[in-house]
Amino acid sequence: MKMNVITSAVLLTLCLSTATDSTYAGNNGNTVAGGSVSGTVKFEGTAPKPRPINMVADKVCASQHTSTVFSEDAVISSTNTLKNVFVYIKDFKGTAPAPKGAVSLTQSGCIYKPHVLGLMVGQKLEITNDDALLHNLHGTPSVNKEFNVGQPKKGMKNEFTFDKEEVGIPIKCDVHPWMKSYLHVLKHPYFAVTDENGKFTISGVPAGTYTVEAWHEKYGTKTMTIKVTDGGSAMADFSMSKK
Amino acid sequence: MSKKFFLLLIGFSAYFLFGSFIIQPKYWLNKEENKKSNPTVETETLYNTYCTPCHGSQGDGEGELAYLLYPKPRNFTKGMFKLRSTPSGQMPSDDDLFKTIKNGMAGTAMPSFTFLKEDEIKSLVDFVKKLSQKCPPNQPCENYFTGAVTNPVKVPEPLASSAELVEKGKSVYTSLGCDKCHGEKGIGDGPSALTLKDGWGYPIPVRDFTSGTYVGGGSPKDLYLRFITGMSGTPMPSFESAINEMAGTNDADRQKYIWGLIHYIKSLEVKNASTQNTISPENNIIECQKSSAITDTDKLFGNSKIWSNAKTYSIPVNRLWQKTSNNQLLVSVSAIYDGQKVAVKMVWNDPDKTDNTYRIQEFQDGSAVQFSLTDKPGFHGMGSKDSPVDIWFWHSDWQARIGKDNNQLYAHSSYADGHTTDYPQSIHPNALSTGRDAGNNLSQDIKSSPVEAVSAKGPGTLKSKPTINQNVTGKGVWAENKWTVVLIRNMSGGKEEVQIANGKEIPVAFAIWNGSMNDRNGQKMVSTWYKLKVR
Repeated sequence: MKMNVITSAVLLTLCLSTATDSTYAGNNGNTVAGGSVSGTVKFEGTAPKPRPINMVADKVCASQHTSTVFSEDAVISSTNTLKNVFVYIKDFKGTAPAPKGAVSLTQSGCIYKPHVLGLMVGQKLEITNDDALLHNLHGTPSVNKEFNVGQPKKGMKNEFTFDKEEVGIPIKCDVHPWMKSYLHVLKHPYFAVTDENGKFTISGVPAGTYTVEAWHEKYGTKTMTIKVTDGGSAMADFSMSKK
Repeated sequence: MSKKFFLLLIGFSAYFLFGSFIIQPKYWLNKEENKKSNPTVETETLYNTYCTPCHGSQGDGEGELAYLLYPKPRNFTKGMFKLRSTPSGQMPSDDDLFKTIKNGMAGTAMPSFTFLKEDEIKSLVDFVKKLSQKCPPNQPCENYFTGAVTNPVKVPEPLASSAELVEKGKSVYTSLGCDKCHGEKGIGDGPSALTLKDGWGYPIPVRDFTSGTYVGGGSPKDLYLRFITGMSGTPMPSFESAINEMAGTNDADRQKYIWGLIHYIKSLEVKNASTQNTISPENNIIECQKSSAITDTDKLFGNSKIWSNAKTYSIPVNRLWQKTSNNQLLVSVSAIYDGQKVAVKMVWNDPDKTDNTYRIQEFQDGSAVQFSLTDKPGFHGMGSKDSPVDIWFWHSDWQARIGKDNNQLYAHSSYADGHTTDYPQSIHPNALSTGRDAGNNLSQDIKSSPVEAVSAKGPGTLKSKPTINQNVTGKGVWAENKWTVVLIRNMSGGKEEVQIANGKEIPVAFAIWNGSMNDRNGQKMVSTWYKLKVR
């Protein structure tokens, strides 16, 4: 019983401290707790030519596309900005409860949508098959557990959760070797993925000094130290290049 | 006696009586008690003898022979085990690991360890679990089995196969997309087959259902588990949730759906004709039966009555470097002795007779029997330093060369315009040929026996015995897509040779080379250890 009292006390303190430290919910009327981190990821050097995907191995996949499909392992805009970079606060100490809502990943036309996805420890990931053929969801984490589930039917859904933090979990389909997606699992919600213009915004970050990391499947990682103030907006522009 | 010396003596006696007892139980206790008090010492020896050569001493799959094997030996430090009875994402149960070690993985280099005792296998299970840990730099190791939940899947009793069920299974096969990898005919040639990789990035061949060989056993219940749980570290996914989605919630429908598929897959198997009237060796024992006098080799073939007392055993041999299909073969083995000589017969299917040595890109059929010179056999891959082996190796190409010199064999018979360098003795019968005249068996240009007697003390140590010690005779006959090979030797052997005597149980193993499958040297099909019991 003694133990329980102590544990409860510790838990209570933790709860209280989290509540005061990180009210990450953001917009709360006029009082804004925390600030935002935003920026652009640039690509330095000559952008590689987009790599077309050959779907000849499965005619059903190919029939769902009217134009050439390109690999999303390096999506670089005309102004040399990089899409699908996962940007997150690397050294955030606190934790937050997982949001109730599920994050979804869809296999459509034998392509994963989206290509890069962030979610929280314990948060549900719902993977749906939008194709009328067999896909297998083969996650090959190094910290979390491997999973490999067959989805032979259109509309089939499977739910997964991850109990450990891990950045860069590859998900592949062995049936269609070009299909690849990356998952990033964090204990906190301070992450974003760059859009077509290489831009990202992480909002509601509790004030403090942090290391921000940008992660790309092909071009590796870049880090930067930033200072977030209440109501302020910190800038974090990255540039990546061929290794 | 001084007081000081007396005390010292007591001290020493106490040390010898109790001290060494505690410090070095290995040398003090007898074997049985030692096992109880310090199980890890013996388990580690077992692991190092039978597992380390392939899986490595740390279980990282980087053993010294790993480079010769395909698929690669499992890396236990990744916590992924192929054969599970537990759902996708869970660790295997102890029983799963026990079965994997005991039965091996048919069609791969993982042999069965049926020759070990049950508690020896159990201790190996614990040892493998201990090695199954991740050790990040500067952090404590984390064992995958610590706190792991294992809820084995319950396998219902299989429905009996029927034409209707098999027909149903055929449609399930297509609707699930099994054909994407396993192919329309189930021969492992689906459109995605060639792009598949295992968990370590190596290409992985797809199971050919016509071969009837399955790494986790071929019973309907085994196939049920592979289908429902998937196979970790391979592209084979779990179809558990797919079944819920596709077969509906009605249990009868679900049963028909799953067992239909399994019976359909089993219906694709092509039966192996050479295994008729053969038995699996009980307790790994192959009985060597007393026969009438073993005389002329030729009299041991055909419908010879000399074998009538002998039992015929079916011995699986598995290819160390997997091909797309036919990685397991069943060899029919029988053995007889007449008090003076011993004869071992091996029969196996081989549709292509390959015994030509003219073209360098061609390889030859062969077979071998391996005897351990120690009662407890060493590593099945040609023994070890402490446990040497005696091997009788029959070469189809040597047989084709009997009584023929190189000129007759190659150039003049095969290619009219061909040319080979003449051996000195073809110019003059007394000319010196260094290797031959020094007694090197491999330098004999004209073969007198198709059998080579070789010895080894572990992989890479194979040594052909000198010509004067080549005491094994034999012959192979190829007919009706089958090889029948008989090997004969005197029961008593010389130095580094197996002694075959009444009442003895001798560890024995078998190997087959299929030339048309490019088998040669270490790349072959091997069996695990059995015991030749002379009675």
